[in-house]
Amino acid sequence: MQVLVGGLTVGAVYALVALGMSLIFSISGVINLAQGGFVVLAALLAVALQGHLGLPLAADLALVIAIMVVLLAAVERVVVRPAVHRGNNERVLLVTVGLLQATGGLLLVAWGNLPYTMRPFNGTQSLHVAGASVPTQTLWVLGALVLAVLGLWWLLNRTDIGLTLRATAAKPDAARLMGVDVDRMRLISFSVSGFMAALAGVTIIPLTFAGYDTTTPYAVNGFIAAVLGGLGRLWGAVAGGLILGLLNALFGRFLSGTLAQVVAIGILILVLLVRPTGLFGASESRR
Amino acid sequence: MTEPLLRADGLSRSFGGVQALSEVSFAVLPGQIRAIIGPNGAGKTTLLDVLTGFTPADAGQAYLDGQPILGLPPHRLPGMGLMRTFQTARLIPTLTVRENVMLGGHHLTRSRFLAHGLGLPVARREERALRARADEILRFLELERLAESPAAALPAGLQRLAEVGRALAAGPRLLLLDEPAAGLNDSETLELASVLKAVRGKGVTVVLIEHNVNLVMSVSDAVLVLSAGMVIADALPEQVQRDPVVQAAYLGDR
Amino acid sequence: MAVPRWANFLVIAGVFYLVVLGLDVLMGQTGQVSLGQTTFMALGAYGGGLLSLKVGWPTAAAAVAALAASIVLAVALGKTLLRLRGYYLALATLGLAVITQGLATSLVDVTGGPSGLVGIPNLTIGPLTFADDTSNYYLVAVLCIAACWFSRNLTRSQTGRALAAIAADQTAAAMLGVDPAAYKTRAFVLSAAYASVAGSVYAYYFRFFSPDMVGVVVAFSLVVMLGLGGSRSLIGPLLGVLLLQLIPQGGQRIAIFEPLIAGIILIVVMTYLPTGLWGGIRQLPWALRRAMTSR
Repeated sequence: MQVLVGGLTVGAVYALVALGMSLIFSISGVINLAQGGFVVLAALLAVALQGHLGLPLAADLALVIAIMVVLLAAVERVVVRPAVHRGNNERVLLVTVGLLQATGGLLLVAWGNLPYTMRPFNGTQSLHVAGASVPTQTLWVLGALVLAVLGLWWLLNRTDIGLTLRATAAKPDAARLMGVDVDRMRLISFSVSGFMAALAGVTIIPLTFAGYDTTTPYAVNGFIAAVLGGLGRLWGAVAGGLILGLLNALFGRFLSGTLAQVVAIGILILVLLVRPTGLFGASESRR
Repeated sequence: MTEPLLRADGLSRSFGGVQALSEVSFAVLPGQIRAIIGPNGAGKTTLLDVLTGFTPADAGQAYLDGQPILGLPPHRLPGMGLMRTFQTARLIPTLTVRENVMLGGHHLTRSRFLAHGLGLPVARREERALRARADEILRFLELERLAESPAAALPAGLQRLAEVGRALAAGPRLLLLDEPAAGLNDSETLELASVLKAVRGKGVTVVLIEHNVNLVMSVSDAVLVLSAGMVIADALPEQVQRDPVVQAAYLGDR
Repeated sequence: MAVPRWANFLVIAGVFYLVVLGLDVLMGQTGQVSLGQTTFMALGAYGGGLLSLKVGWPTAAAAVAALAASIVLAVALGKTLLRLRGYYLALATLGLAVITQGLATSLVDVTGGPSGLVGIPNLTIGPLTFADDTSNYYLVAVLCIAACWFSRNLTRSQTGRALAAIAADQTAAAMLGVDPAAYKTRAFVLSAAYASVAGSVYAYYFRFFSPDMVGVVVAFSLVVMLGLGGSRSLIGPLLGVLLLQLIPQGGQRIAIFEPLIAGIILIVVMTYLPTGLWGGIRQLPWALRRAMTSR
């Protein structure tokens, strides 16, 4: 049970990364490999704002979320949009690799090479559920995922913008012909992913250490989860992330940490071979 | 009675509830130019896809010179003498026109990675032969001026012609052309017609799927008409043109 | 040829150039995205290292054995993984990279774990021992030249054209008699062979090998080097390797800015020079002429 909780927690972070990536992919065909890096950025921002400005927790979180939403919009406008207009998917992918690298580089310059963490939101008590000791922070992480999923559902199904987003995702060429500003849709999807990265970062940081060199695992695992769930399938992304987290945790019980990841990923590759478009992906290929 | 070069026997294929092909049977005699026409959605491209192994058939069989060919992977067909072109010219854009045509002769070569990488004499000999053959074909099609041009730089009509040249480089006995006249203007179509006749003159049997009625009338020896996946006529061009059933099928398409 | 002080840098650059040349056959020419080169570098390095260190084989024989193992593994992996396309193939090969780093780290008894395999002997071929910078430099230079020669022959041959066809249009390639699965697998095997040899040389030169040297970050940087420099050429990969290796040489003062600079360079080059640095340089005369005539 303990293991399950740990797995779900990490899985929730992967799910948030995968959700962001799948959302962006479904709207624009861009795979944003830098998403994992933004999670760490959000985490470190939260630490810094709390430490340097002495902000109370709520203000800190709100500010980080606001910064990330604006930042991702700026990233889309300045970095991604020129690349998309000039190049093909492979080029854009490499641009996001550069973005991930640059984000890590920025973290190094601004925060140095030491890892950081934060105090848990409700202190260090734990709840006892079904024989497992659950740190309260875990509930915040899971809550963040739930919030992100609900918020995304509300955005996509209950707002006009959401309708346009879904139309663009379903038939991008038709949407363009009908006058939809695909660039703007992409920008919105990036901002929403920024929101999710912020949620992931600020809720997970009290449970772990983050630094400039911790971006890769989040990026890699988020990507794996997104593809596993079927690129562009939002529920698949969530499922993919949670499954990956659980697999890692389950195998971590019996094997060393790294070996556990090896086995988990080996299983996922086997899955891909059997179902080449992911667990929940479409049977014909998109893009 | 000559043996048919290509014989299709009761080919059927359905996709998700739509019967794309329904008991299609026909024969192509060696040395013929055979046209397959029909309104949109009649199943013409599906027929080509089934014959060339891109789509499996639900029922039926096809024979190339008596050999069953259904179910073979597409890359085995050039070796058996069958070449196909596609609706949009699929020249490799990163290669020149000559390189594209040389590519067509692929099944005639034996050398692979190691021989080519090491520059072995057998590989170099094959390369010279491929190049000579490609140049000969380009001359035959009057494209030799464009041999060094990147394939992507050619206008659509010439790309189509080059694609036929590439198919010819394989030395096929049977050439399946999918709408070769699509997008061509009148003079380009006339040139295509004379090329097709010249190709037949060299002993290659041609099957073409076409919408362009003039082209079909002027070059074909026999016409097969498909509509909604079924054969509704199989006769000489003039007879098909006058056939009321055929006219009705096309009228419904307008 | 080169100033001995730079020889160390050039040996490492040469090793990576060899790997990236192999990757170019698979990615640049055949269009298959692969993050799996580190798997074969690891096989070549750990295989060669372990066979010569723990089992006592002569180094050259060990390297050849590791190469054979790499080829066998590449055939098996190629047949299974290359059925995937695009992002899914990238993901599967990324999985390979993660598994490679994971296994190298956790199989401590075999690989020495995170602290690495120590005491690997220098490469000996007959009477020659490649112990110092200069001799390794010449060794790597010879290997690179041989690899370039092979790759160039390949590109200009019917095989090269077949690979280009697969990269551009797999369906058309099949219709021309090119068996896409067979060719993709062979390209994969070739790239694995280059990577394995490079890995062996790498390990013998440093007399040491650790999981970091074949980590996921390295796997990504190989693809970056290829994209940055330009694919389907011989100079492009060289430029990419040199650039990426040069950045960390900038010195202590700017060390802290290196990842950031590297990331920005990648973003800028990929956006504005889609054919890589070498492609961009080659197109310079045209670009200049266009810029001047459009006034």
